[in-house]
Amino acid sequence: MTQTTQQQEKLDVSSDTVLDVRNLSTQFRTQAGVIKAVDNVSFNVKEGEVLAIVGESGCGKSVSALSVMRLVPTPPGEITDGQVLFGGQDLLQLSNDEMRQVRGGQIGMIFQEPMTALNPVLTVGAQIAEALLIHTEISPAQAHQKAVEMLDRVGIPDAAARALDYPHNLSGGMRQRAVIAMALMCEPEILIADEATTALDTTVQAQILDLLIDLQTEFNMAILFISHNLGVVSEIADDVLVMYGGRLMEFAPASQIFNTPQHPYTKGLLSTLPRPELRGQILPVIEGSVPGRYDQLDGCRFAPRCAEAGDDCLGEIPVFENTAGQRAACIKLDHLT
Amino acid sequence: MSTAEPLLEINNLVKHFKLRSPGLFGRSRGTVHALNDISLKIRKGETLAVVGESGCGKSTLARVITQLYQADAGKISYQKEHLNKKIQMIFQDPYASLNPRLTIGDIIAEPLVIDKFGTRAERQSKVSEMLELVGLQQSDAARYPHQFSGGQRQRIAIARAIIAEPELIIADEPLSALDVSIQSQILNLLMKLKKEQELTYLFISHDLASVAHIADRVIVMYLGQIIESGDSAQIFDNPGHPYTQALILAAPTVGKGKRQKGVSIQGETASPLSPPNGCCYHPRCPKMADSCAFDAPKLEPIGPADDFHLVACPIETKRHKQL
Repeated sequence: MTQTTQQQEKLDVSSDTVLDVRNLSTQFRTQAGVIKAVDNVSFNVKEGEVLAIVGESGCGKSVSALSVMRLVPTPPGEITDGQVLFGGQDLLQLSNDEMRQVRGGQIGMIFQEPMTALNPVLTVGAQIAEALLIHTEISPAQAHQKAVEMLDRVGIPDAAARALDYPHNLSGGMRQRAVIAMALMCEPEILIADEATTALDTTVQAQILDLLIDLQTEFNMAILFISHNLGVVSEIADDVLVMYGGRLMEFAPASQIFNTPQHPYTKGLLSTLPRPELRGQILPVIEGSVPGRYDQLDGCRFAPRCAEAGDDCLGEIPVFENTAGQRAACIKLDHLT
Repeated sequence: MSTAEPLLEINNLVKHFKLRSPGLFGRSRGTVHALNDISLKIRKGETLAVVGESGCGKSTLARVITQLYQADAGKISYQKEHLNKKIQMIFQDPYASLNPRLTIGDIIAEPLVIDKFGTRAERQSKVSEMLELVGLQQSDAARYPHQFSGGQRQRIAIARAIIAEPELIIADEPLSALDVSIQSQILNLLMKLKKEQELTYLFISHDLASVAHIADRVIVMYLGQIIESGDSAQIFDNPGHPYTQALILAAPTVGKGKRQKGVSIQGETASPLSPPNGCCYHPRCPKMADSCAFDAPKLEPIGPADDFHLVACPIETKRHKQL
């Protein structure tokens, strides 16, 4: 038995789980007080599967991803509680140097705006090769060769020539492909994609989703996919975590989230989407607006907008789970079956 | 709907932008063909949607209609004199479109001030009426934009757009900066106001689901050209142009389950600096024939000539005729 598996047993992680986040809490200290951006959230991502975190602005989905990578700007941000179990260790306990080895090595990352992830004064090939030069023992020529191969793999035509281009020479879709190539260079076990298709045109978005699903199958890679777009999530996710106000609202396999949602927020959100049967008619709405911050410390964060809310929603809200692995944080669901 | 009188008619509109390197004597770097030979009618009381991806010219079209840009060629005829003063816009970003130093009351009243409408008291009472209409409180008139959420700000922008009783409202991506749970609120509001105030909308969007929901007629643009137009149901239930078909297939939809491999179209939109010869879509088109690279297609009826479903693809129109 290797040391890794011993550690895994010690931390009680099931064998096909790549990333196990437990009771994560991240807060920001601002002049207006402490904002609990992520409040006691747990989720896990399995080998070769896509977990999507979906929610509206300020729900904590991006801060969750940044917390996993330990990229929360500190100060004002701070991870106050929880464990991020990955590769048999708790990432929150690693030193900065150790964490730097994990980031870009075993964990790849892609972001919304590919231009901000690329260095404008380096050629695309050089930036992609850089990951290999940092994380492995390889000659620059070999690294460049591998970069070209990866550019070709992510669907960039004429990859050898494009590797010598600068980022501004590429279109938005090609840039996002280059960023994906960069993230994949060290064959990460998990790819974290934060709104990775949001800035792209519809037809290009579809191509990038196809590419991600393709790569996930080929490399048996796990993906943590952050998005506000329920349609995109529905097309790529195996499991879905719905967040609101920094908290978990619902977690379930995608088919259950979209076919048999349990939490009033998930149900409400899905009901508001325009669909062919309702063309030209008044759509259902969730009243109120997404609050900028959550002053109410106890109780369900969604209660002020929830049509089903009552007095008991102001107390502590446990997370209920049914036998099919569907979890929902709603006091009305103690009968969740 | 298709028989109502046109409020606005556009014929053979062309808008090009010449790009120059910076500096007084900067070299020309080519011409962006933003709008090429655009003809359309907006009929009173309808919602006409313009859909397309970035660079297709949909926002340039809005700016030419409102005369923020001058067209290079072609004609815009307004049904009534001074109609150009009866057009209002709703913009994408409600954080950028409201002056942060003005109160909500002053922001909403501004079109009336420009119109020199009534006394201050009359304008204030009209502002109160508008606030109620868009679902805000009368007391909100004294507050400032930063005190409102994105959805509420878009309501304020809508109140400002309708206060001077415009004939036409151009809404340029009015939902895309809003949270998902707010989008249906604003869609409902736009539809309610259209009915109550007898408004006409030009609704510009890249989001097909909201377009299918609100539009009576739809125009699909690609690289500065109209490639398909028709009633909303014709476009969404029976798309004629291969690009429209691909766009509808690519739109992320809830409930289809995980993506099936190989349904997305290849390639990306060509640069509007050097649009392809022939059909502007031919480099990406799975149905392309040799002639598509040379002959620029014209909009032609794909079904019976009187149902106004026009498609700029000879391959598809021919195929439909043979069915």
